[in-house]
Amino acid sequence: MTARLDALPTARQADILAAVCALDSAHGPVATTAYRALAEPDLREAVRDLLSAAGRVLVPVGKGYTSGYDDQISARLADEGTGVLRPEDRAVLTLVLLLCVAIPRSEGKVPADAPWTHAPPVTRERLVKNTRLNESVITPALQRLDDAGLIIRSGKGGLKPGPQLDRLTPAMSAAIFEELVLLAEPEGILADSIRRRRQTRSAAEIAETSTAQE
Amino acid sequence: MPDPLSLARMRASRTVPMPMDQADLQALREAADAAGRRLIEVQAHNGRRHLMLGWPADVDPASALSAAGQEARTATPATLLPLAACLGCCSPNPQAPLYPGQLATERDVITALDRFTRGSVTLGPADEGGGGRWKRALRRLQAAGLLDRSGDGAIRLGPEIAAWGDAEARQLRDRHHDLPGVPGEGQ
Repeated sequence: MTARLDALPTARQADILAAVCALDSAHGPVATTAYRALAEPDLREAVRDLLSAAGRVLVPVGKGYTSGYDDQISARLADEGTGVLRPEDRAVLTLVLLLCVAIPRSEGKVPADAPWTHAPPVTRERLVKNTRLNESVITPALQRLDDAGLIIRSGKGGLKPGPQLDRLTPAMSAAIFEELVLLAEPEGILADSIRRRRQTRSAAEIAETSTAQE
Repeated sequence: MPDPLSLARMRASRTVPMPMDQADLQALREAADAAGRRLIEVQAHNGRRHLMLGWPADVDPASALSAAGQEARTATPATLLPLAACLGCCSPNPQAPLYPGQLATERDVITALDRFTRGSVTLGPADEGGGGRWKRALRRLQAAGLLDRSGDGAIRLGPEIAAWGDAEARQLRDRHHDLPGVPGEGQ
């Protein structure tokens, strides 16, 4: 295992493995106070080391943590098509995020820094009614998204973003939210600013690559 | 030596094909060890060997969560009963290793469930009728990696069963006669 972990007493190693196992297996975020290895900064670094060796990172959520894929690792996996959702599932998930998160946030009903799962539910009927997607596409897609923990059913036929979305890193969450803004209001001021920022970032990356190659 | 991408790929895909080269396999084992994990060998429907990322024998997700009072992912009876029937149909001999077990059919499982509940349990919408109420549960079990279904209705135990520890296997062996689908079930 990692050098930092190997240097610790056996009992502390067990604390760290238990925390990593809980982070990777739990339905949602785990409380910081529930695990010594999350509560103590030195041990938390060892948790980070172990997660990193598996391509994962510690993601803070509220008063706890979860684990998620490292941004560079998830980009590589997406490039090779590993773990990528079907196009119809992506379309339905986008609808759910638009209706449960993007619109309520733009209306001030949900704080901008709230977790994805902190969202008012949307009914299945609203998904079907307000889109050009056929019900025969939406129903099986919702089942698959539910199975994957990307949506959850709430009472009275409602559904909302599921606990897997809490595993997104802050950078990945920001990128998805920007995509929602570009989709919902492509001509808006915010969309313009996102496009400008991306152009600047892209130019800087090209310049950096050129410098590195010289 | 750490290999975060390979381990992340294994998690995202649930399983990856067994490397042909022993050196590649050894490198993966070392990468798993560096991450505090272990590799579990599993078998696909076509009989090919695959690898899955698991936890060391002394680390168990359910215990890691429950010991700290954290919410574990729980299944409803509507899903657990079909899982029990799959275990009964795919692993009818309590003395044999649980995994990989043997092939069964979706029809075997649904028949076992109907017989076990004697048609008296309603676990899904009334309009699903017949075996429909069980099929949704089988889909969930497949999505969770507990079941492996082929297109022609054949069923085998899924790779996640291979990750079950000795304690789970022992408990299951002790109550094996209660599983739906086992000859003489409930006696």
